[in-house]
Amino acid sequence: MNKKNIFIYLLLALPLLLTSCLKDQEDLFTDSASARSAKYLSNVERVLTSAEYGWVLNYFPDREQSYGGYAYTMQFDEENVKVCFELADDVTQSITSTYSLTNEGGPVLAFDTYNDYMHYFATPTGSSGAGGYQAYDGDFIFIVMNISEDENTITLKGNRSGNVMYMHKLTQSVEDYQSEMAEFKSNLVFDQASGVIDGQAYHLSIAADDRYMTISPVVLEGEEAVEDPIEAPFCFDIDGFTFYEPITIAGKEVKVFKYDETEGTFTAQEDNSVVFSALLTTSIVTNNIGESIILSNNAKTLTYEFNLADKFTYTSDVDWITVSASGKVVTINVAQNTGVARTGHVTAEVDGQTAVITINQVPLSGLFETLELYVAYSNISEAARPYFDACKALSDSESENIGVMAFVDYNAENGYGLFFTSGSYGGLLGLKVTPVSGTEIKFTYEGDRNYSSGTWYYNHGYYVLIDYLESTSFILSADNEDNPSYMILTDSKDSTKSFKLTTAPVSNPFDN
Amino acid sequence: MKKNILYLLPFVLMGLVLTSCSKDEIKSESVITADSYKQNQFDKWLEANFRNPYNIDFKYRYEEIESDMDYYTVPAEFWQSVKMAHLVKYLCVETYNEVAGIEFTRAHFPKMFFLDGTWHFRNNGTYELGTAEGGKKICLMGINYLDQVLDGSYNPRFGLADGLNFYYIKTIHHEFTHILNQTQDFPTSFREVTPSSYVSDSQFSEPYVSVYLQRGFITAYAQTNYNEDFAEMMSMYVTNTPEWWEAQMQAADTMYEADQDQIQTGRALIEQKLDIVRAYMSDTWGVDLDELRDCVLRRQGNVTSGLVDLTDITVD
Repeated sequence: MNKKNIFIYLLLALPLLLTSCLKDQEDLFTDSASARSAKYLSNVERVLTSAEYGWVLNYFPDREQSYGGYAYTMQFDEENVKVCFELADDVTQSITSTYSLTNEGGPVLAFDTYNDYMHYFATPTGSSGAGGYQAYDGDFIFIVMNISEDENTITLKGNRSGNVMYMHKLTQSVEDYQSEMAEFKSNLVFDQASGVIDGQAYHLSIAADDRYMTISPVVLEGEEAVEDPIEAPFCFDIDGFTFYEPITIAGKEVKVFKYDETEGTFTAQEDNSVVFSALLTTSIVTNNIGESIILSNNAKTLTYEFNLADKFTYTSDVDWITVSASGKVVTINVAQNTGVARTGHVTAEVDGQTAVITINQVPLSGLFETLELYVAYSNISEAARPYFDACKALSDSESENIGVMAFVDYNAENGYGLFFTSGSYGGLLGLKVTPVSGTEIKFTYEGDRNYSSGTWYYNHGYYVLIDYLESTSFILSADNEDNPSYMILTDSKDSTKSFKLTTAPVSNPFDN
Repeated sequence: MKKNILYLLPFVLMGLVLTSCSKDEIKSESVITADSYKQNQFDKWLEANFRNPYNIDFKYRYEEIESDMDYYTVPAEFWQSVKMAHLVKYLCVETYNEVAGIEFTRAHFPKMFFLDGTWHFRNNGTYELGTAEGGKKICLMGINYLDQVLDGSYNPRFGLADGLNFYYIKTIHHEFTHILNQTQDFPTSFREVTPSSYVSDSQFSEPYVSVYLQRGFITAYAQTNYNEDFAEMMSMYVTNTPEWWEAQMQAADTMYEADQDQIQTGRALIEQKLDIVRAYMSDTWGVDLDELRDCVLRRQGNVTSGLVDLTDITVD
C-alpha cells in the first residue's frame, strides 16, 4: 500500500466527520408512541360507548367472503357489549359479553369472552367441511382502521380473515334494527331483477340465503358478451343491501343499494343511473295468497299484504267475487251464498304470465266432508250412545281397545268414511255424504273400503252404528263456520240424539 | 513509523464519528402504558385470589398473543371461566397450600393460565385438551363445555369427578409435575425402569394404546418419554381413588408377551416407578404422595357434592 492510497482512504473518511448535531430537533410527536396509542384507544372507547343506540357491524366471515355478510347490532358500555345477531332464532334477543381495546400491533377491538352470537362464525367443531376445525373463518378480533370525521362510521379489519368491515352508528335500538331488517328481508318477494345501464341490459340474481348476487350482462344472440358476469358477496341493510366491496357495472363503481318499495327497484347510492327493477313472476302472488281458498257461505273480505301487490292485474270470473289491489294490499270480497256450494276464480296477470286462485264457497254441509272429525264418547248425547256402545261391545269381546274413531277423507284411493282402529286391526267403513240443504246431510253406507277387517267388524256389531247413521239425516252446526273446531250432528227426527265431532284428534274415544 | 501513524489515523477519526449529541434525560415515567379495560367484579376477584397472593395471572379474556395460532380458537365464556377459576383455586392451588405450604405454591405453581373456549381441533377431527409452555403457562381448553361436564351431560362415559379430571384438572397436576421436575430433576433410576419401552409418536396407535398397563405405564400417553411418564404417574395417582389404582394394577398384573425383553409384569414396573415418584416427592419437596391424594380426593368430593360455591366473585 502506498501513501497515495492512504490519503485516498482518509479523504473518503472525511464525510464522516461532517455530521452535525441538530440542536433544534424536536420530537415529531409530543407523547410517546405508547401514550399516543392509549389515547387513540380511549378515543375509540369514547366513540363506541357514546353512540346512544349502538352500532351495526356488517360482518363478513371467511377470507374469500364465501358466506356473504351478516348484521350484528351491538351496544357498548364501559365493561360489556350487548349483541343482537341477524341469524339468531329471535333477532331481538341479545347476549352480553365483555370486550377489550388493546394495542397489539395496532389498536385492536377484541370480543374477548365468549358470546354465542359474536363468535358464531369463529367457533370450530370436530366435524369436517365448513364449520369444522376452521369454523367459518370468522373474526372476533378487529384492528380499528379508521373512525370517520363525523364519528358515524368505524372501519375495522378482521385479524384472522383480513376482511375490511364497517360499523355504522344506529339511529334505532339494536333490537329494532334487527326486526326492521327481518321485515325488509321478508318483504323482498322477488329474487330476479333487471336493469339497463348506459344502453346495456343486465340481469341481477339474488341468492338471499347464500348472500351473493350474480350480475350478468344480457347477451343477444350472435353477439359477444361485453363483460363477464360478476358474483359478489353482500349483506342486507334495513332498506337495501351493500356489497362487500365496490363492484364495477358498465364502468360505474357501485356498492350500496337502496330499495324503493313502491317501485320494486334497487338504486345504487354512488350512481343513480345504476337501477335494477324487480322481475315479477306470478309465484309472488300464489306464494302470498295460495292457490285455493275454501270459505263458508258468509260474506267475507279477505286482505293479503305483500310487497309489489299492485304490480299485478287481478280479475274475477264470477260476479260474487270482486278483487282489487292498492300498494301492498290485495282485497278480495266474497258475497254471501244462499244456495249450494259454488266455485269462482281470481286470476293474477303480469307480463303475459297468469296465476289462478280458486275460491270455493261451501255451506256447512259441503264443509263437513273436507274436515277430519273425531269421535269422543263424552261428546255423544245419552240417547245416541247405544249405537256407539255396540262398537265398543264388539271390540271389548275381542279384548281390543278402540284407539281412534273419526269421519275422514282417508286418502285419494280409499276416499271418505268412518275410520277406526281396534287393537291392532282397523277399517274404513265407506260413507257417502249427501247434502240435503246447506246445513243438513245424509249418510249412505258404501261398504268396507279395501279393509277386509272392516267388513268383519261391520258384520259382527258395527252395523248397528252404520244402520243408524243411514236411517236418518243430520242437522249441522259449528262454532265457526269458516274454520270450525267442532261440528255438532243432530238427528233430524229426534233432537235428543246428537254428537259433537272435533277437528282436534281424540285417541281412545271411549275413555274420553 | 510514519507509516504506522498513517494507518492509525483512520481509527482515530472513527472515534470522532462515534460521538453523540444527546442531551436527553431519562424520564421518570415509563413510555409504555398498560393496555386496559375496565376491571369488572371477576377481574377484582382474580386480583385478590390469584394475582396478589400467588402472582398468578389468570387470563380468562382472550388475547391473540397468548393464543395458539396453529388452531382456530375462541374465547372462554364468562361464567364458565369464573367456575374454572374457582376449580383451579380449590382443587389445585389450595391443595398444594394445604399439603406443602403456601410458600411452596408461590414458588412453583404455574404463573399464567390462559383459557380457550373450545378444544384445539385438528384437521383430522381429533383435538387437544390442554398444553403447557415451559412450565410457566398453562392453556386450559374447552372452557365452554365446563357446564356440561359439571352436569354430566358432556360425555356420559365419565362421572363428574372423572370428567373434571380428564378434561381439566389432571392436566394442571401433570404440568405442575413438569415444573417441579425442571426445578429439581427426578432420580435417573426412574428412566431405568422401562428404558427401552418409550414409543414417542406411536403411543396412541395399536398395540400401544391398549396394552400400556401390561407394558408398565399408567396411561397410553405415559409411553411418550420418561418425563411424560413421570408426570402421568404423579397426576393419575393423586387424582384417582385407591380403588381405581388397584383396579389398574390388577389389569397390569401380567407380562406383555410381545416384548421378549420385558421380564417383569406391568404391575411390578409401575410400582417401582411409583416408589421413585413417592420418594422424590417426599425427599425433594417434603410432600407425602398419599396425603396429597387424600387432600385432592377430599376436595374433589366437596366439589362434586356441591359444597363449593363456584360462582361467588365477591371480594372481602
